Parts: sequence; structure tokens; C-alpha cells
Amino acid sequence: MTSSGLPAEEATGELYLYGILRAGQELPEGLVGVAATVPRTTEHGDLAVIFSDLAEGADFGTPADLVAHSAVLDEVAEATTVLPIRFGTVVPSTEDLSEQVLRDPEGLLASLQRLEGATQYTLRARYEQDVLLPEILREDPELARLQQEIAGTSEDETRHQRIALGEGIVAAFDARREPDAEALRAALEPLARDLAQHDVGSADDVLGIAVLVAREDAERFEAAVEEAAERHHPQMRVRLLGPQAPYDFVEGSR
Amino acid sequence: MTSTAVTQQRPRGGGYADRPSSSSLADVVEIILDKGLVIDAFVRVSLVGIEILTIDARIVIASVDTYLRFAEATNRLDLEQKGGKDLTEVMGETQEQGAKGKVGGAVKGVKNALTPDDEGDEEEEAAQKEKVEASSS
Repeated sequence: MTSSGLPAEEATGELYLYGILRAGQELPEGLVGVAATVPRTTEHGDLAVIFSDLAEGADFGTPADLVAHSAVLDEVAEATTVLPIRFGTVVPSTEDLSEQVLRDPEGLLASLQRLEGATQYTLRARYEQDVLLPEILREDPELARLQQEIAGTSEDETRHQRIALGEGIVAAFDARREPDAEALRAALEPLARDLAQHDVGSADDVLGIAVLVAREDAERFEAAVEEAAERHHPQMRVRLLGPQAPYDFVEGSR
Repeated sequence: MTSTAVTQQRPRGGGYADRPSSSSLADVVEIILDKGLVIDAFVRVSLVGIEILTIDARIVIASVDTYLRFAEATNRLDLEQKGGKDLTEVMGETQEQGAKGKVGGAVKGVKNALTPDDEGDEEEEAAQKEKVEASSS
């Protein structure tokens, strides 16, 4: 079953939106969207919107919907360029599609053009604590001494020493992070059309980054990530998501 | 150190980079919740029963809680070297580092609330193991 044949006028309730792409394209078969709906497209001029009909009173908003939203976008992105719309976007009627969603067709087409032929990967590198902590202690006798002091004690007994030790460990992570993150970034940059670095979420994070890669470079990019992961093993664990839709490279996303 | 089997293992797929075949919910929350085109006034942020927080929580605010956790992690390592507890406990305890004050704790809460049944990634499993161990000790 193709999902682009039904006219939008048949949509009776609200429309849940996934993304925007060029008109005249078929969606992949077998997509499952939010609230167990089947996504389809509706076209306006040179653009098309991927959407699902939400039945009135549909139970929408579960974690499964979040996963479905990204699954739809990632599958579509394998086949063609798509601009992801933010999760949770629901418009009351089809009129809103032309009046609001597709209000700036030139801008949207320009974004699609900019992302043409590219795919996104998201990389996250974290320190392996059971490798780094001994390393940090080896390198800093003061921290090693504090660790000896707290061994076999309760938190109440050695609270001050523990805080000092923890501060020292966080400082050690901080000192390593920039050169390590830079080394990883340098391995990715040659094959990247664009990069969007994320703020780190915790002290043992090294790098979180979204990378836009030309499709023809995807294999080499994945190989470069694998090489970098091997180089930094066992100090770091590297996780690579993708190919995925260009969430980080749409104008209007952070 | 003898007990590095857990962390020295290669990730799934045989390579050094972990390539999950389908994104875990935790990944999806991080990646997509605040990304993509915003259609003015039409974003219904309604993950059921859970308040959506801005992902500014990613800013690291190391707190006393963070320091205590790292310190305890070194304590556990010491025990491990003496043939002590399971290394996954150390991983579980220290994976959720970076307490970020109220906001960060709530983000973690969002993630944990969203992944009650999720196999999730190693962190979730290890964190769960650690909780079970803690409650049974």
C-alpha cells in the first residue's frame, strides 16, 4: 500500500506531523507512526508533508510515540531528504498545512536543497570509568592518598575527603576532555559536511556531536568512527547512531 | 586489575564502536525531543504524564552528589581489586553521574520514567542492577 494517494480532505481529525519533503515522492512501505497510525503525505506545490490522522480522543503522547516519530523520519531519510518537524506537532486541520506549516516554501526548499544527498549520524563518546579512575589515581598522588583514606569508611566518616577526591576526579576529567574531544572531532571533520556539537551531559562524557555526512561518504565515515573507537579503546566507549534524519541540521533546531 | 572483562569486551557488532540497531528510547529522547522545525503554536508537548524539560539540563553542574559518587566509585574499585563486588555495580553507580541539580535529576527522571520496560542500553541495565543490589543489601 502506498501512502501518498489519499487526498488530504479525507482527514477528519487532527493531523500529527512528522516532516517535510519534496513533492512527488512515495513513502517507504510499512511505516508505522504514532498511535499505531499509518503516515501518509499531502502535497502543496513543490512540497509535501508527512502526517498521520489522529482519531478524536486518540491516546497520543506515549514513549512509543516518541520512538515511532523518529523511526518514521529515519526510514524516510534513508530514501530521500526530509526536514524533521519537532515531536509533538499537531495541527487542527489541513488548512493549517498550507497556511502555517508550508508558509515559507522557498525557505523550506532551500533547506531541503542544503541537506540534499546527506545523512546525519549522532556520536556519543564517554570515558570508561573503571579504566579512567585507576588512571587518574595513578597520575595524582594526592587523589590516591585520599582514596586510601576513604577505603573501608562510610560516607559520614570521610565526607570531606570524599568531596575533595570527587572534585579532583571531575577536574581530571575536565582536563582530559578538551584534547580528547578535539582528537575525536578531528577524525570526523574530514568526512563531515557539517557538525553540531552538543553540550556534555555528565563529567565522564567526552563528546556528543551530530555530523552531517554526504551519502557517498557514509561508509568511509563509519569506518573512521570505528577506527577512532579502536584507537581510544579502552579509555572511551563510542556509540554511533545513524544513518538518521537530519534533526540537528534543520533551521530552527538547536 | 583483573576484572576488566565487562568493559574490555567489544560492543555489539564486533567492532569497537557501539552501533545500536534501533535507537533506544533514551537515545531518542536525547536526540529528537528539542530538534526539528518548530511550527509556531502547534507543538503539543504531551508525553503522557511527564513534564517535558528543556535539554539545557545537559549543562554539567557538578555537585557534591557527583563528587561523592565518584569517590565511592574509587572505593568500589579498591574492593574489586581485592576480589570484591561485581564490576557492573561500579558501572551502574557511576554511569548516572553529573547530578545537575533539580533540572538534571528531573531529566534523569524523565528518562527512567520513559524506560521502565525498555531493555535500554548497558547503563540502564547496570543502574537497575545496582538498585536491586542496594535494596537487597
